[in-house]
Amino acid sequence: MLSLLIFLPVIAAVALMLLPRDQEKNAKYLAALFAAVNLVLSLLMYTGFDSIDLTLQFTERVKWIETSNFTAQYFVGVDGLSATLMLLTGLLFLVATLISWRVELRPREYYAWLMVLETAVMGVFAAQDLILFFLFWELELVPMFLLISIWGTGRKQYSAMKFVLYTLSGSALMLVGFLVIGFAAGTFDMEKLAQSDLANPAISLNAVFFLILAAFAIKLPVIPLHTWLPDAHTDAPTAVSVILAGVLLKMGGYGLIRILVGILPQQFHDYHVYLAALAAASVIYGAILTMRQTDLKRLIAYSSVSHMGYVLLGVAALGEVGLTGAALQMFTHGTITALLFVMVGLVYDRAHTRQISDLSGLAHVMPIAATVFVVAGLASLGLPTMSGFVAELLIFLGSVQAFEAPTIIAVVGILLSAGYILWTVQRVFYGPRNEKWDDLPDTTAWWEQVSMAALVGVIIGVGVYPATIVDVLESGVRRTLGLG
Amino acid sequence: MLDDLDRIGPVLAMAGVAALILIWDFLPRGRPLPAARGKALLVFALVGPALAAGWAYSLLSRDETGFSFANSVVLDDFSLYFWFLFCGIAAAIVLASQEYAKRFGEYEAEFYALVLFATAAMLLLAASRDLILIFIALETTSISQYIMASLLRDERSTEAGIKYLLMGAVASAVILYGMAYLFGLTGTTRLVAPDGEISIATVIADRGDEMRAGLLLASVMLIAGLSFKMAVVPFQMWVPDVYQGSPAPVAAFLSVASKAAAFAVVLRIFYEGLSSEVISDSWVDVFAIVAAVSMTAGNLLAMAQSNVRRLLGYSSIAQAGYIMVGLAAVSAAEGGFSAGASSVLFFMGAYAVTNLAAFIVVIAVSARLGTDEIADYAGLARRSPWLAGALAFALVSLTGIPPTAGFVAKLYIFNAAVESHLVWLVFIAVLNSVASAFYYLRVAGIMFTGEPKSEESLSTTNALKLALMVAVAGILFVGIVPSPLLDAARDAAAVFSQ
Amino acid sequence: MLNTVSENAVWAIFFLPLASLALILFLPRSQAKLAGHITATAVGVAFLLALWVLDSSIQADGHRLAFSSTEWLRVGTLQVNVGLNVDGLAAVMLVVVTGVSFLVQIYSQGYMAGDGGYYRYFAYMSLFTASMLGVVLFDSIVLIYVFWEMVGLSSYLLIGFWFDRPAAAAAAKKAFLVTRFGDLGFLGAILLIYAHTGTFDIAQIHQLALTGAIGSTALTFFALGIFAGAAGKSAQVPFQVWLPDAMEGPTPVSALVHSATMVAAGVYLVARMFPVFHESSDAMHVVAAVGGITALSAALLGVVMTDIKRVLAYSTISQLGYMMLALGVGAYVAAIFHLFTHAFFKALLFLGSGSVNHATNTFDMRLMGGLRKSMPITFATFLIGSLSLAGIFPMAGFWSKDEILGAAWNDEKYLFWMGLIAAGLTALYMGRVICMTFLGEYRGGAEPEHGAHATEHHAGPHESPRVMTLPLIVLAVMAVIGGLFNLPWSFLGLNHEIEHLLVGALPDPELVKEAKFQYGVATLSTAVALGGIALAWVVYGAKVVPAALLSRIFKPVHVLLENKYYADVLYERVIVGFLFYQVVGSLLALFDRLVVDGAVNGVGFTARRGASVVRHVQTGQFQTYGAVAFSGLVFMLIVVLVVSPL
Repeated sequence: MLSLLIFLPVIAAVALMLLPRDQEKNAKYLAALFAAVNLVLSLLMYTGFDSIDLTLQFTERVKWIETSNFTAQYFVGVDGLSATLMLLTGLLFLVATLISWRVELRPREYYAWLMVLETAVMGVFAAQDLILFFLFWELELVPMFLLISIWGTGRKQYSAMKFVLYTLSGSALMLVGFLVIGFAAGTFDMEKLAQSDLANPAISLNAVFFLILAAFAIKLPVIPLHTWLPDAHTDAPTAVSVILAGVLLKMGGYGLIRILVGILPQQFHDYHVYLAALAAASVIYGAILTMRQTDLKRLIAYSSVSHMGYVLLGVAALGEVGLTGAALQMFTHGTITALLFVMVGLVYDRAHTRQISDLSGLAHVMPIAATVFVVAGLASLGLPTMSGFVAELLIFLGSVQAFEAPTIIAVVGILLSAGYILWTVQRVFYGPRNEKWDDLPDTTAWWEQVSMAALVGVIIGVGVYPATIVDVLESGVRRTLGLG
Repeated sequence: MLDDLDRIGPVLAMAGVAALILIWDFLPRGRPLPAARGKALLVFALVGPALAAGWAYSLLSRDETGFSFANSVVLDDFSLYFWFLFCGIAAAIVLASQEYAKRFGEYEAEFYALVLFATAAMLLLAASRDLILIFIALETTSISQYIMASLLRDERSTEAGIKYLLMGAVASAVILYGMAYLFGLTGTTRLVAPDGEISIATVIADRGDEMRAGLLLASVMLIAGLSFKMAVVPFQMWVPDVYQGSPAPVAAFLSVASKAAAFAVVLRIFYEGLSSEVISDSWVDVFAIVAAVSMTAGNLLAMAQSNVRRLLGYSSIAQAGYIMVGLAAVSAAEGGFSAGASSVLFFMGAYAVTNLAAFIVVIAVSARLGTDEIADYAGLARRSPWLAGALAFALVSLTGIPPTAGFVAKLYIFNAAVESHLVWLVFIAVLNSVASAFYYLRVAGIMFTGEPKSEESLSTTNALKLALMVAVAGILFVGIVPSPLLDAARDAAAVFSQ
Repeated sequence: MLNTVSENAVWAIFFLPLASLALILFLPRSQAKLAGHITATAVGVAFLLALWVLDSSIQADGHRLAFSSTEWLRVGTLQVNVGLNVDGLAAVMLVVVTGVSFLVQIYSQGYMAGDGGYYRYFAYMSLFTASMLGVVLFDSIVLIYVFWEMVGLSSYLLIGFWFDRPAAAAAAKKAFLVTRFGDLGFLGAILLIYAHTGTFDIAQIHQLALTGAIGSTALTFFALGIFAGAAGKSAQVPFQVWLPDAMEGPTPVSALVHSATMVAAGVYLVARMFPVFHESSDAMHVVAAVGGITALSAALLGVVMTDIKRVLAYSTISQLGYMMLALGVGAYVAAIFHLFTHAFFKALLFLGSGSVNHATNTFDMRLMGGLRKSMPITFATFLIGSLSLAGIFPMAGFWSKDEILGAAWNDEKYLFWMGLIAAGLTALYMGRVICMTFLGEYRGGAEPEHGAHATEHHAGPHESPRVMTLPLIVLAVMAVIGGLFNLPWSFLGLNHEIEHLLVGALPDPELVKEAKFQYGVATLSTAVALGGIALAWVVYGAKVVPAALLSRIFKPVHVLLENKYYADVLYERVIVGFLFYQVVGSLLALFDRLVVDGAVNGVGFTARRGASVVRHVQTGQFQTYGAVAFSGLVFMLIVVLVVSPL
């Protein structure tokens, strides 16, 4: 089941590459089909998941590498955290394939790489062995590098390389940490590691903590390790931005919870106040820079920095509520920011500019697009009845019990986010009709509308009745914290 | 006596075929040379590795092991591991050279013969446990390689040959010094010998402390001298020039085969002969430092290259640095030397397939376009997707990104180092692999995103395609199912754990 | 008398507007005309149900209807429940909200006729009504916050209804941001109370507050946080800046959202949390002082505005200040009573101004005048509304305002004087409005500007259609008799109905200060009010003293007022525009580009520079190679000697 979920996309990739050149127009249908099937699979997995039972589910375990001194296994399984994030992955990759409908340049390769990327992400969320986790973590690099540097825009080479080097630097340090842990505990099995006390490690566990933290802090991203994000987002194709913001950043948050909280809780507790301070700083710093942006994609990218700050805040609280909030924030930010990028891509597709100063009064010519953008924006500024609010509320409720000052600072972030979102809406969509854009078509294509409808549905659905997601996430959190 | 010959059979087979090729080439035939000659030579040359590998396999299946020629040669899993490796490399080089070899004109046959001679010497090298034999084998490989390097007989090639020769001479001298010291101190040239017999190991075990100073001097000499063949600092300066100047297949051969041979020797000498704690702590430090410096220098300089062969040259220095990390990973805990050794052996294998894949593409391109400038690789993906894909994949493997052999190899070697508490070295190593991503992926990016100078697609010989396919398959297979190679490496390394 | 209302009926009140919203969203554009009817019907039915609820809560003992609550969200011990909380306070609010909303919906059918966004308008209106009802109905502070924000959203959408007008778009954003600024306090209060009590249930919080289970500082901060939210919504100083701009929205919106209901939500919230405030005297003082200051300062601005809706906007702010003042001095009943009456006459006044605008296409009083002849109904109703607002006997406003002044007199004298002066100013500016708008001669109006009226050809000003005047009449009636529900003595069988209801909503009746009706205060305030009207007549009616002269005499004051105390300049230009955006923003942006990103690019750059420097050792000269090799050898020896001395 899980393995199928993880590796089906690779099969899709192979199939795509084997597609004869004269058939390449149909690559998108093939890709969309596979993505849809994978979404169905992840839905089955999610619905089949039992949030009462706090053990790993759908586990599969095979010896992979085994030598006297080094044992790594193919060990996948899901708890509430993984299950939800894999569901998100399934959803967003379908959206990604749909909104790439107009990609004409080498579509077979494009979709193939997209599919490989899905495998990497699914793998990260399912892996229960540090080495396997690391393998999937690194697997994401090459597809991203090529997707950005071939199908991107602007300074794409620079941005792609920047993305890779940042991620690699993080994962390189993380690898050292993993090896030290593995040597100390004699296993890379995350489930075992969570129980074992790491006796006499080669270097102090605090050092290990920071080595691993580096990777996740870069991925999340936390200031001052964030500057790869705006560049990558701005120059990546829309679908890749969707994936990047939607799921790749979540790998960082997921790692924080699953590995740092799960395996090094003591060290995490020693430093969690500093992390909270850093989180609050990220929230405010990101929000203020968001206001300064003139490019829609950059703007949303910086807003992600701010919103991911909430995730770190919730995790740092190290409580059930905070962690659940953080996990939920990952899910909701995934859908919300994905939708925002979809809309920006849609505008860019038609207007061929992302400069806010060039755009105005679009609500007259594209009312549907405008409405959906406003919905996404409101969700992103944490308006109640939308998923973002519940997540942020839980995070604040969780963190206020742990530390008040960072929480209060972070709360100010919701005012700033309201500021930049509404200001953007006002500048781009409101104002008198602009004859320059009079002939822009509103969204009509089914593949656009399906994507938007799906995301809006999830955002409002979770906002109105969050329990569907929260209960599952909570079970994962309880497992991580080792609560009964 | 026959036993002895049987046990070095592969060596004889390889050398024999090489000799036959030369003789066959002397046979009078009309000028101009018949077109079929190239194909014939190719097939003929393939017989060498095939025969040798076959023989080695039969030895393995008969599990023949033990000493021969008065304990100067040993047949064990270690030798066998390298024998198969060398045979594979030789075969790949031969296959890939069909088209390029045309440039050697009437010396085409000599080229193949030299490849086989050099390989034969390497086979012997991997199996020899006697300083004198080691030196002779070493020189044999070197000399054939000097000639191969200058085989194109144009200015660059000749210059490369001369440089290689001169540096090699110096290196050999240093090695010889080291060996002489060792002999002077211990009164024997055997590294180890079956129980009872006197050998360097036993002597050091008995009276190591009083001769420590000398031993240290000797080991440093040996490391320095052998660093020439391993292509690590301080004897690495020749690498980029020779890789660039010498014929592409030769560069490939140097970057893989002779590096592997050198590491085999180092393992033999230090893990068997000089393995006593009295000095091992000291030479471990030397290895560690050489590793750190080589990695850093190699990667740093590779960034600034515009020629793909120079780039691969520096990259091979860096890679040798990573292997050195394994050499330094002598952990008291995990079975003495075996952990580090097995990681080195595994890396050697992974590196061989990876670098071969990369170089085979380079051979194909320079055979067709006659250029090695990275700029000329722009848009290769459109002219020949499979060549570009293979090279990109090889580069990814060199970077150490999954699912490739390079990834597992680094993982495994770093793990060994961590277990020997060399975390600082691993730290430097991982940072280096980050830096290396910059120039490896840059080339990949250029191939996939650049604008090709011309649209006409690049074809190549089936032989080369075959070799390339095998190599790429190897990278992927080892990357996903590393266990077989790992087991082999572990068994081979087991010889050091006694 | 009917039997007790069922829980489903109460839910229906909440869901009817939502249903109308959903219906309108899926309405085929061709049927857009139906939107108005749908909304009006839905809200109408809701109003009837609300009356039923009111009746039941009058019957119910303790005036409280007990309903079960269900779980909405639970994480570990944290639990958020959804439950209806229908007590006297809620019942009164339900009636006010649905009632005024109903009338406004009817009125809108005429006023918005022919507007391009007709269906959109009613969709927003339905959303607003539902959200407002949510604020009133639910018993969990989190749920209240949820709908509190939704109210903010619908206000944002309605103010920005004509989004093609830059002014409207800006006003909408301003309203949302300013109120959200206050909401930070509200949210902070929720977090604080959760940290201290672990519950969101209002009744429990009240109990804990009264039993002193919550530390006094925490309680004060909690109360102040709540008040910040309330002040934001109710446009109290220093959040007053958004409400006048909100007049950019359609006039019926101003009537419903920005005078009768939403802005009153702040008052409702404080009343709802009254027991908590009661336990913290500091908080009470802040509330009273802010209320007093707001009442006075806003009334002053009302005197100088030339835009009729802006006058009414400032009057609204000032009246809300009254209510806060009342709450601050503990006159809980008086506050809600005033909220009740104010809802009617202020809605009436706004709708009247809309009617005027409908006729003249402008809100600028300098272009009006003499409308008493052409639009008698509007004039009559508007006059009644004004008198009620000015607090002239026996209008509804008289009773509620005097209760407040009386309570203030018993509490802090300075609050009383503030209130009294404000009362005089109120009479003054309303008199001024009447004079400038309805008396004198017609001064031409303006040309129609947006689609709404372009269709109608204008033969001078004219009375508005029945659908618009009818609501005016109904509201006028309420503006007269609204006071009956809480007369100081029982009358027509009505005996402090509101007081009983409201006190029933409190956990402990002893919390409310008995606000005795005081004849002295009443006569004094009436006199002041009449004085104000007289002054207005002198200056703007009979023009005995020209207004220009006065403004010349009080020039500095006048300038200060015309610029609304420069609050907008301070907030928008200085603080947000300059300090925050220009200074902090650009500094951070610079830091991000040069330092954070610069460092990273710097590393890469140095690496490559370093490489090309070291590269020069690679001369190709054999000599250098040998030298390097040799020095390397020496270096190794040194290393060995260092790390392991002989």
